[in-house]
Amino acid sequence: MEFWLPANGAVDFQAQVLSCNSSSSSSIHLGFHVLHCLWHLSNMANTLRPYLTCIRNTLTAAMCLQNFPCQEVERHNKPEVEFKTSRELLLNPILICRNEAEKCLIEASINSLRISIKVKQADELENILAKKFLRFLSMRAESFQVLRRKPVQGYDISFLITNYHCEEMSKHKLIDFVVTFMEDIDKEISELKLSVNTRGRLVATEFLRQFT
Amino acid sequence: MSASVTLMVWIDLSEQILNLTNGSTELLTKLFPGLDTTPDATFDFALKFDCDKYANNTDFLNSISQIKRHILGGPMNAAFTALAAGSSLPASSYSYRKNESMFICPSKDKVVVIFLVDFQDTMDKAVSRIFLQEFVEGQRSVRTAPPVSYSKEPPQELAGMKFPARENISGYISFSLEKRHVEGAKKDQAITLLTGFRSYLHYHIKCSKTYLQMRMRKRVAGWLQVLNRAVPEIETEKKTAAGKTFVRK
Amino acid sequence: MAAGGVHQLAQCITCHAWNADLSMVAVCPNNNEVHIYQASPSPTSAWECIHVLQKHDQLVSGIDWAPMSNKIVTSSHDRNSYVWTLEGNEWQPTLVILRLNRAAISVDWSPRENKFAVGSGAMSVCVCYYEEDNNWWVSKLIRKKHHSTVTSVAWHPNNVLLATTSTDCRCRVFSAYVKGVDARRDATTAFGDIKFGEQLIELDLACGWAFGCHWSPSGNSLAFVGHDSTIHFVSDVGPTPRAHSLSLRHLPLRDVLFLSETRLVAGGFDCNPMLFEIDQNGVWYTTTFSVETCISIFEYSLYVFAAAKGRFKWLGNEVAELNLPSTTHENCILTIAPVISLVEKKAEKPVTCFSTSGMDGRIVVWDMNNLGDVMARLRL
Repeated sequence: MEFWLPANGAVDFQAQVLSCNSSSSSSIHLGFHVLHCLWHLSNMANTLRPYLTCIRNTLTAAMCLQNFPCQEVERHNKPEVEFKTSRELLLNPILICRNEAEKCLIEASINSLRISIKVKQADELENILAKKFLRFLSMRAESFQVLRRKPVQGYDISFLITNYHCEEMSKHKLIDFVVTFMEDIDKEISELKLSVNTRGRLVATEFLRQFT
Repeated sequence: MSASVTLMVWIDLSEQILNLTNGSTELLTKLFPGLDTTPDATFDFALKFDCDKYANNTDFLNSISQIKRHILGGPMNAAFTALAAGSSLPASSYSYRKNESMFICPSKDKVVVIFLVDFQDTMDKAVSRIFLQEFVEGQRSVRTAPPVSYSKEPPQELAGMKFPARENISGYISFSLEKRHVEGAKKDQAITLLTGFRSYLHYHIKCSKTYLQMRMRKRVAGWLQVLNRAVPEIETEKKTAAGKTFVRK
Repeated sequence: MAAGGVHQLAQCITCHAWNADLSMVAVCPNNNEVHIYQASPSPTSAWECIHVLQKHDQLVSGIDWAPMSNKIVTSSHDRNSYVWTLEGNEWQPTLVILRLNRAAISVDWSPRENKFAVGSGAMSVCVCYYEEDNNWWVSKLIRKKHHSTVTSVAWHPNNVLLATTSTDCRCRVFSAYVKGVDARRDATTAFGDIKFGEQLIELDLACGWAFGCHWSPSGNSLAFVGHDSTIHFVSDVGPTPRAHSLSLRHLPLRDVLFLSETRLVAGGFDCNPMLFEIDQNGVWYTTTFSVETCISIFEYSLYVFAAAKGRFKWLGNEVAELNLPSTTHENCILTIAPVISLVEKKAEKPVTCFSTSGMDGRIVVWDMNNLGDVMARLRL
């Protein structure tokens, strides 16, 4: 399914975010259908803002988590989005795409939320830089409480936010973190790449100048 | 009192270089007359000299410290000398490191020195490709420098040469030195630069990586700070928040 | 002043309940304990913890305080319930065998306090009553009617009808008539003669998980909320009920409370109680999005100053979102409890004061007498 979204983002499809899987019988049989949102704006540079706004709004709607004990296993309390024991406790996953290479999958459940991000990797160096960055992060997973140790398949990085995180952290700052992260990682990777180019140019020029 | 200096040069390549009558041997004989001696096992070349005699001979000490340059630069020296004299030698190739080679392809009016550059680490490889590309770009702004070209495929100069073809290397970089680059004192300078090219490149790749690492560390720390900010402030400060609500009356 | 007293008691409060004369409040600070505070609805009062009830070994999910018998019932994720009675200066627990194999989620005393109901993660509801012969709380189960966890239970004022909400998105009304405990005449209701465990109404109104059902004081209306940001009002609860749903633009609600037949308050993830009223045609509408919308310019300038100061503090890192919550609660409201003494309740006075607790660990007491002024001004 493909949705054309207005630039002001996800407010209008909040109902979609929050509607339960089991509410329509067709979705049970068809499995989860993913909302695929694409922007077709001519100026790519300007699409970052609505993309992030959309993610921010979707997260605001999806991050309504509460303590919820497992109804399948006795005395357990686990993130439903990971264990997926009861289908009715999961919400429709939302896929927000800026373009083919950059997308964000938001899977919500009653007590947990999973955000998976695919970072733009235009070339070899960006790919390596992104990997390095994410390795750096996973090395610090202890301090990054919301970081999922292993990204969801097909994505570069995943965050797992549970009701416990929502209890001890303020929600909008948690969302700020995710959005800041997404904003920064693109910027940082292109800046790092630029710094490699600049240094390369300097190194080459200095070398060649000595031939005279 | 006398001392001996034994220098190890890489087995596979020194043999190749030293056994060829392409300039290295001549250069070494010229620089260190009568000093070479039989090397120990596993070594390929050795010099023996009296320390006291050369203690104050700066030129000698300099050249002995640059022995690797002399060995590697021998073939270039021969090719450049020939170019300056208006003649040309046959093309030759040397593997100066394992899996990496240097090619010297003299022609009528120029000598093309080609390096097959490669790095094991994927990050090194990616950075080296960008750097090598920048050499081509940089040459455009430095008019006096020899023309540089870079490609991932073997350049046409190597068409007739036999060497092990390898996939997914950093690339081939060629320096086309013309007569004006090897005249007089420029020759030694050119040899020094070209023999040091690989190390120069490697050094700057390492520096770049250090810088990237540093920046990433800083950025990750920044994110951690943003995340930690989400945790409400400590109890004492919370009372100010409560105080704020108090004001709301 | 909209919010009365604000009391930061813990990091997170799962539930709370007031006693009969509003001198004490029982609070679960997001763990296996129940803390009883010496409290008062007055805005300036300081609350003090006087008892700690420790018997559960997992999170306490529900507390209800019976005003007449002065008993506290608690439910917990450890699958048990305890009924606590004050003996001397000590709260004595009595274990209730719920016969559940999953967590207990919510608990509610029946109006006559001879029964209580527990909603559970086992997709069933326990109706517990006291057997004097055995000195024992007996649990009767309503099974196989829910398809998912029962998130809340609410007793009809007639002491026999029980409303439940569940994460299968439905709200249901059951008969909880227990032979021998309830009088025979209670079995005759608008639905005719009813038997225990009979499902009388099933409301499939929400497209999201249903939470927080509550009856109006007369028992004529029922309200519950859906996680798809909807609130549903059911009037003429009987064989032919009428339903009225409102879709909100805001984040989902979590709990509701009827203040009177015509007025209802609801709270949830927007951290702010919302007030609903019914007009002459029986249509419910939001009287105001937030009871705190009218803040003075002075306060606003203070807020902006604080935000600017915050910006300074974070200088160097480009986090300068000014969307700091301006609400009294800083996180989701989980429970809304009426603040009404037994005397006033018996006199059938409308609830004018209520308290909210939530994931920010605060209990806020809201006084409708003051709110009324605000409302009046708004309507002008």
